[in-house]
Amino acid sequence: MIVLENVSKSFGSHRVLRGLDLEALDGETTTVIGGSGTGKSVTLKLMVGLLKPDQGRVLVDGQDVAVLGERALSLVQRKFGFLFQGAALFDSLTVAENILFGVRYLKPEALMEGNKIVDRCLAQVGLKSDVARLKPAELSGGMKKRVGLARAIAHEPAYIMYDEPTTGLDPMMSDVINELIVQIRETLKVTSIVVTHDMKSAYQISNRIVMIHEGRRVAQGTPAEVQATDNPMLRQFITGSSHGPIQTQVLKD
Amino acid sequence: MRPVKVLFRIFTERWLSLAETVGRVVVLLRKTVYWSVRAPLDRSVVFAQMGEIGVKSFPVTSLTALFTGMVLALQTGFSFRRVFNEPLYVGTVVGLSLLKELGPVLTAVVVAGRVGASIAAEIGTMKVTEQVDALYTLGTNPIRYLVVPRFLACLAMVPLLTVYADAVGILGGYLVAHGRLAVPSSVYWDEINAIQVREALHGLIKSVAYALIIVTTACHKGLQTEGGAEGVGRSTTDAVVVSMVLILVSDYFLSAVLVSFGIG
Repeated sequence: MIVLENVSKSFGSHRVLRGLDLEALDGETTTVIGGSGTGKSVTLKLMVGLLKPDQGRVLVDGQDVAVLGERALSLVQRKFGFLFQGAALFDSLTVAENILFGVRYLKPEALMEGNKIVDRCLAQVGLKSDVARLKPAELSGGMKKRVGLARAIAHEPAYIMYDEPTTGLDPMMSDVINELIVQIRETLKVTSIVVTHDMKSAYQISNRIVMIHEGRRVAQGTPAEVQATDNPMLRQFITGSSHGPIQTQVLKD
Repeated sequence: MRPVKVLFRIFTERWLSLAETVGRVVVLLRKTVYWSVRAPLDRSVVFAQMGEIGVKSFPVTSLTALFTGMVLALQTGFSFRRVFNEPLYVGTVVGLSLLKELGPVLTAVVVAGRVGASIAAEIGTMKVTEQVDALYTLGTNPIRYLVVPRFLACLAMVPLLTVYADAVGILGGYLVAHGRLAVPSSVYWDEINAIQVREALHGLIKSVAYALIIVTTACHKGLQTEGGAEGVGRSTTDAVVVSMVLILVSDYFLSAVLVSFGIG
């Protein structure tokens, strides 16, 4: 289980998170929604220990990652698979090498079965084995996301983090990715934390949805509860309205 | 009073920023040395970087060193002929200048321009596209994976390139001294042979220091990159400019220290 307690994070004079509380329960998909710049991606990076909070605790299975040394943090980071917004595939490596990258360092004993792992991971994300020899530059946006997901699950992590998994994809490919997220949760029994502002995706994949605004949690609930909410902020966000308690900046000529 | 306060604030901020940068570079260097010693060496990656950093720098180093040696011989020969009526000491001047100063400095400047920019741009691009973050999540320390192979390759190849540049420069000097100034071959090569080992060592030690400057600056700038393509461009430029300035400034201090220890 991942728990964030009263977490604050600033970059220079810009305060991104202001006492955020959040829980991601085991085996569930927790989706974090909110407008741009509200600290959703920062929240994910805090959970993985890529960033350290200025205040508060980030507990992963009871361990506070904010106070861990480099080696201990590395051991915690092994529990995570991370699908980055732009997939973050290594350009100089082939798809197979990308998928096996984490296995090479996290489960070197499994490298003997490298080809099997590559084929299995590619199959799990709906790609054929012949993609394995391609370089990331030869892949489409949707394929890159799928390979990124294959890389994230290759070392069999306990947690998978998804940073805007459907951003930049067409609606059909978004649906494919959403189905993959659900399927991977069901088959691998992983805990997933998804950051998105795509509400269709959030309803489809989540067990619980948490909304962040101005660095704080302002609402949470199941997809059904969120759809029926009378919380004005959440309602404004899910309906995509520019009128409401959330101030939207519109530049006019 | 207000302008004084503002100036004081700016001055303080600049010094704090400089101190912070120096601190970061020292930490990077410490971690790089730690991983270089501790982690098992991925020889194929290091050899690939040696090819990228060293082998691909040979053509431009050859050209730079050859013409530097040639122009050095030409200027020395004509100047000495004007004073002494003969092109005296051309071999000595060319040899000592190249071995102690021009060989290491020019090689370092060439490598800083070609390799420093490339390292900063590559690591910087990986930083802004979250590939560096991806390394952490895949159980790999970016310093171990990205910095160490470049660090070791640079430390091996820059001194090697310097020795090569010295040889090519001396050969270029010989072509002009013998072909244009009519200095007898035996005179030129006797003067070169008279140069002592410690004088050649002077330049070699400096080349190791320059390698350290180039690779540390480039990797640091790359890992600190922020802000997309514009940030990558800024890091690349900074890496080259800072490396070159540090090479030229440290040249004086290194020379002074080495001479005081009787090396050169």
